[in-house]
Amino acid sequence: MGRQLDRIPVPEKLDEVIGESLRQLRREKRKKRMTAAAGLAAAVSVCMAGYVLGRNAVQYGEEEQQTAAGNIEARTDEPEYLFARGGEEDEIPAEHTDSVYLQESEGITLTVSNVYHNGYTMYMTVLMRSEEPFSDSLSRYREGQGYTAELESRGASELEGENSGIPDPDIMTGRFIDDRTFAGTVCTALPDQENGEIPDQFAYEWNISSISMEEDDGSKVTCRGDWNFQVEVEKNTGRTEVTDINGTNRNGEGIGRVVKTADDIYAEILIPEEARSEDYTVAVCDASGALMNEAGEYYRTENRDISTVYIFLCDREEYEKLKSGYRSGENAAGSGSRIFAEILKEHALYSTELHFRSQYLCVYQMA
Amino acid sequence: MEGDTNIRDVKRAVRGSVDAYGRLIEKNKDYLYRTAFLYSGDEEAALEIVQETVLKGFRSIKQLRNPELFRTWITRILINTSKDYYRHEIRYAQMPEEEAAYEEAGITAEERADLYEAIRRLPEKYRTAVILRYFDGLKQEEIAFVMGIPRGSVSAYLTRAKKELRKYLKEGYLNG
Repeated sequence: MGRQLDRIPVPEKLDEVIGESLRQLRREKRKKRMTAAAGLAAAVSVCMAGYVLGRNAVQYGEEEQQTAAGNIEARTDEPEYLFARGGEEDEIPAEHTDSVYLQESEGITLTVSNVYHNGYTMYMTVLMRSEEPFSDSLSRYREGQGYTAELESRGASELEGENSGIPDPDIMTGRFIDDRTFAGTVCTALPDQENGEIPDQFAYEWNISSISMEEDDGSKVTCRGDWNFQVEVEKNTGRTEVTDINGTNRNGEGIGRVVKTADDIYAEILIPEEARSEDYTVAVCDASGALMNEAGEYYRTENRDISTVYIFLCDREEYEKLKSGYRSGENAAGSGSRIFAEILKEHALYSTELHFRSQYLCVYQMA
Repeated sequence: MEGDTNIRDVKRAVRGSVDAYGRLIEKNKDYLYRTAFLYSGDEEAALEIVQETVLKGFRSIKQLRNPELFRTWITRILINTSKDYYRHEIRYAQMPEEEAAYEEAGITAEERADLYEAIRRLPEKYRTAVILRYFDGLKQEEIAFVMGIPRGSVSAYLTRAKKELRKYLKEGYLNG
């Protein structure tokens, strides 16, 4: 692409412009010399005059000092303390919006609420209510375990006209409330804007055509329908913390920006220009060294000790093997079970740790 | 040797020689103009940017500690000056006709205009990083110096810029 630069035609006027600039610099230089010379002459005159005055005015010196002392303003010796403004971690977050959107199709009612963005991610809470109970094989998830449902959906926003740039939401993470109800959150990364900022409020159109849930035996149950929402997305950054790590290893692989909200943590991947993002993945562990719950590219912070968070950039293939091996108990042999974060640290391409105020503190914390 | 002559001229310019400075600018004038043009998208604006850069460069040349870094250093001044002259409206429509004689196989003048348009749409800091990396051929360390940011941030900006550009273009433009 360097040759593309050479293709840009250079106007003939450029020589004239540069010539004029250099002429101006020469004028400024001459003016400086003349000013310096004049200044030197004036200084010599002042010195000579001062010498003459000084010889006759010694007795005035003390009065000037007293006057000067009397004019000095009193200064306080009290130190200034700068306090960092803390987040309101202990407060229960209020609803971000009073707007609730409801659509029914094919026996499934979807309610969308709590729609907001923090400048980086758009969040929507979705309540899914079925007229018929969900299948029995999903019952194990009804005990409050986290679950991820897949979506087929398309979105459009006024951010960039028809091509919104906001990725279409494709997963919803949450839990079963009962045998007919699932409550989840949809998180979608927002694209960078020309002026660098997402507007405080924008409209978003969202069409969902199917919701799929995977059962224990690997089969999928798909609910098809036509749910259309037009929501207003308002900005709320009250509980968002952004940390720019921007650290890489020698190969240019590392972690960029880390965004923590009330519900999740997202870490941006930095990779060399020729690399493919699909070959990498981020893993986030809590203070005990345990892997946090994934929701796509986000890691849920609910009920976790995030006083220390360990963030690892890993080769995706290697990470999947490590995760699979760890869950199957491979690392339980020998000297005893190892903490997952310790294993990741040995294999990660890049790692870092951050500290946040945490509602929960676990008994064991990895050193 | 060319490099030795340049360093001698830089040292003379630092000592106040406008003639030496003028020789340095003469060698880099096309590069400065084209970079300014990429940034502003307008011939008149680019000429003003270059004019202002030449003036500012000499007035602050005493701050240049390493003569070998003259080109990177003057690029930094140009980028900072360009930020003041960024225009929203560009006239890339003129370019396909002017460049018809220079078309290469695989990249038409219209596609090039699309590329410039896509770059223009990027947020300022991403646009700067892309121009310096893919058009001026600077290394990431040099870009970090020009932009006054950490090297890791350069990598972050390039990653995000490519993500944005992919929405408009095929990947081939960023692999060349």
